[in-house]
Amino acid sequence: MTLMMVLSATGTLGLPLQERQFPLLELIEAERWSEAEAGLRERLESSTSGPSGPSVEYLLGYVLSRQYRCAEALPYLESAIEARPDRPRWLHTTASCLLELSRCSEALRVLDQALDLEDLASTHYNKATCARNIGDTPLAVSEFSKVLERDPNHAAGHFQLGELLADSGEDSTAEVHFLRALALRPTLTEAHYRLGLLYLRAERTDEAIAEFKAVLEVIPGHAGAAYGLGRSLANSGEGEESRRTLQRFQRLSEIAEVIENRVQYLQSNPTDVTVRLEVAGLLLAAGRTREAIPHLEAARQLDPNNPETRSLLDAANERLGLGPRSNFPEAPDSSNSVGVPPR
Amino acid sequence: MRLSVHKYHWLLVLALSSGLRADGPWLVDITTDSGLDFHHETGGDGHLYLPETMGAGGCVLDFDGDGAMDIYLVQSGNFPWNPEIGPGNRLFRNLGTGTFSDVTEKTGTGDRRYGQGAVCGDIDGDGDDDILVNNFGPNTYLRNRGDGTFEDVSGRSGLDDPNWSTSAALLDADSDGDLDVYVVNYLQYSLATHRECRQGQGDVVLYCHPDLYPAAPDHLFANQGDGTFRDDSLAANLVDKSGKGLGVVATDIDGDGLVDLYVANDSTPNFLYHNLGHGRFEETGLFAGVSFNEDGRTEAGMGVDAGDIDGDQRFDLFVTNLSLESNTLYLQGAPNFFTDATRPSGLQNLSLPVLGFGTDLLDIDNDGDLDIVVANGDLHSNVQLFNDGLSWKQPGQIFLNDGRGRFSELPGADVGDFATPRVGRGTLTVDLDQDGRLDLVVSYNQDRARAFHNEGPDGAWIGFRLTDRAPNHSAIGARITAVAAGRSQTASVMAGSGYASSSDPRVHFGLGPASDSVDVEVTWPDGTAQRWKSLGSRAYYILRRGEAPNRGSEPSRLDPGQCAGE
Repeated sequence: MTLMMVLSATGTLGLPLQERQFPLLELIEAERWSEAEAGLRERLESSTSGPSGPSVEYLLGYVLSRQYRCAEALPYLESAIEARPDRPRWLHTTASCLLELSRCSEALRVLDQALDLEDLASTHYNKATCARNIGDTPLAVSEFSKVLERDPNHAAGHFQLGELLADSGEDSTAEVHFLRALALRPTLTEAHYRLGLLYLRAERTDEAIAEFKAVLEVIPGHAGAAYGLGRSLANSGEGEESRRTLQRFQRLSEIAEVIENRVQYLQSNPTDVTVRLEVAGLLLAAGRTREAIPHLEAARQLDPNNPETRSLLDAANERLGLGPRSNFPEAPDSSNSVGVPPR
Repeated sequence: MRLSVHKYHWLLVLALSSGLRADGPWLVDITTDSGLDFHHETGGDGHLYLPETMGAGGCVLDFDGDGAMDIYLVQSGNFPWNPEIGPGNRLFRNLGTGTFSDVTEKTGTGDRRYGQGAVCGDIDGDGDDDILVNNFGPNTYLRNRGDGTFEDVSGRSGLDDPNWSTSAALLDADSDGDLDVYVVNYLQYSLATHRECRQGQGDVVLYCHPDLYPAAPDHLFANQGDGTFRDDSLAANLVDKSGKGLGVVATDIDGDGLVDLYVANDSTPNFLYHNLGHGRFEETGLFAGVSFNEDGRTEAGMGVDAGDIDGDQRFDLFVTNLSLESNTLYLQGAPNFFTDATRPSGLQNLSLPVLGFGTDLLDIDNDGDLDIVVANGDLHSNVQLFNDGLSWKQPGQIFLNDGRGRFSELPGADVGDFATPRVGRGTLTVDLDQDGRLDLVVSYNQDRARAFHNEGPDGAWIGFRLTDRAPNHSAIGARITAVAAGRSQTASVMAGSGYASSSDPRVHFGLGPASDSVDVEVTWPDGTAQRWKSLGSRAYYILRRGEAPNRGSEPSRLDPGQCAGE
């Protein structure tokens, strides 16, 4: 079912509007964001009251959010969900924007509203991410567990739950989730790394060595993996190889100083997209993926159409099992891909 | 040692002040009643000079030899330093009656340099405790004359390191029998090199990151036995080109009989100086696994302590770090091979929102294992303007050990007054009233120092003060193993730990439900061992070298509550 069919069948927006919106919806489906935005703004200016208002506001908010302009999108989204709090998809999109703007406490409230209407794995996932961001580990663990109850093949859910459990000292359970994440998504490099750390702590040295080597094959500059490999080799009595590997780690670590200098520069020049991307690239090359993401998100806010930003962000998300554009909810079915709620 | 007619006064005072709350908060603020009247000043005038953020610490000593532990607190004062008007450091004599007397003027210890920290011990080997103050600018060495007064011998002793010093430790680095001094230095910073830093392009001014300034090298000062010290850093191979040092601990970390050094550096790799003997050291932090965290990242090391966390008789290391980094626990497996056990210990997430400074490993509940206290506090009074998850004033934390190296945080309501958010810096662990429960004195930046009486669980315990032959009278570097009910615990005599501080020189063991009978083995700094058998618990003992072991001669016993009066 296409998006137009959904709208047509439901009659949500009323016929006159529907006729005028169809071209806009086609533009949205085609991800022709600028044209869709212009059309929606025009539509909004011509008719801000009546039953069509909230839908148009939502669509405009959605289109802006897809252009990584959540700060602009949020007023439209909030207005839309105030008028129609019964639309879980609208709530979900709003929460995603709040999450992107690091307004996690507000996002959690909106996500809870959405969950009251519709219990989706993706909503729990966003809730878990929020909880993790604000340091509420018990809530994050609980929400990631709910994600996996609803979608046992959620690779990112397995990986992130594994991370939280490992950080809490629950290594044996964490291992299960890391292995499952890798089975579902073998390209999830960070899961190899976290398994390596876990095996090193448990003195399962051969396994640790294999995991760290797997990371270094994909990311040769991963300083953490080089350090872990050097430590593992020392543990296994490979003194000379350990020394060589740790010296390699030291060379890789020198890049950290360059990164720190650039980060200091960014403190005074936070809008310099070029340096943001340079820092993000260096962090990714060093295997510091989680640290790269805030720089990439900042760059995206500053220059939404920069293809390098998108490419690096997708690469970062891939490593963490998040998938491209993962902070936006996947639609539960293709007929609803712009988040317009079914009746 | 004089006996006090006021021996029960402490208990009376505490009963009145706390209502003997056996089931209440563990750490009760007794500052006002105790007379510990000290307010830390930074002299900040809005220029945000970096040294303002780092003060201050202090040290525990028994300057008058009466058996009750006295407190020396370091003041920062005016910045730029003005010796004429600075408020100065303070020495508080423990009267043993639940009160302190400020004896600063009488003793001549009110140094007015811009202070950061201190270490106390018998530096000159004449049998009484001296004071070394770490300053922004030349350090101050206050020599105890033995008559209740001190003299400033900084210049002629050679201990007046002009760098920005933060912490120091006493150790016999060259095994010649006297105490040498390791001074930890932070940054090469001056008014001339001061920079203004802002958050983004906005109006928020903040203290600059240490990355903007080069490191100041640490120094080892070798005791020449005549009251003077020689900078022996190069000869000892203690070549510090990059460390921005804030904390240090000196003890025989790998159990080979020689005292090693571990230095916590701020945003540069931590140092483990392995003592090779004959006064030579080798930096082995990378290969030992204690320079970086588990992810191979440097952290902003602040405070540090060493002790046997997991009961395997090997010393482990604990380092406090910046907020959004965890504090880090390194467990020693094979000698000089450590594993970052922060995650499996349960400590990873507990310290992320706070910035840890002072720390001590101590058995706060006397259950037979080492717990952890951390004093927290951010550098920036406006931190919430650029990180809404953080705050300047932060609660102190207590992490309880389950005996196997796994920790849980004691809830704030149980912690008591120590959990009140303040800007924590140095922590001094000290049994103020000799009741066997370890108390805390904490120095706070721009705030009043606080004394917290431990009213937590009242498990069995035993404590020791060691007396060795001259010149290392207090046996700094000695190792003690106590065995009770078949369970062994090992500790060492240290001077200098945590952040910018040194704690109670006595060694304390909690015994939990263990029996009254405790066997003790002391390995003196020269490697000779001595044993005492079947000592009763709930008492402090003075163990003197040369007393024949196992021949019925009891070491001197200092009963709980026995304190000297005025």
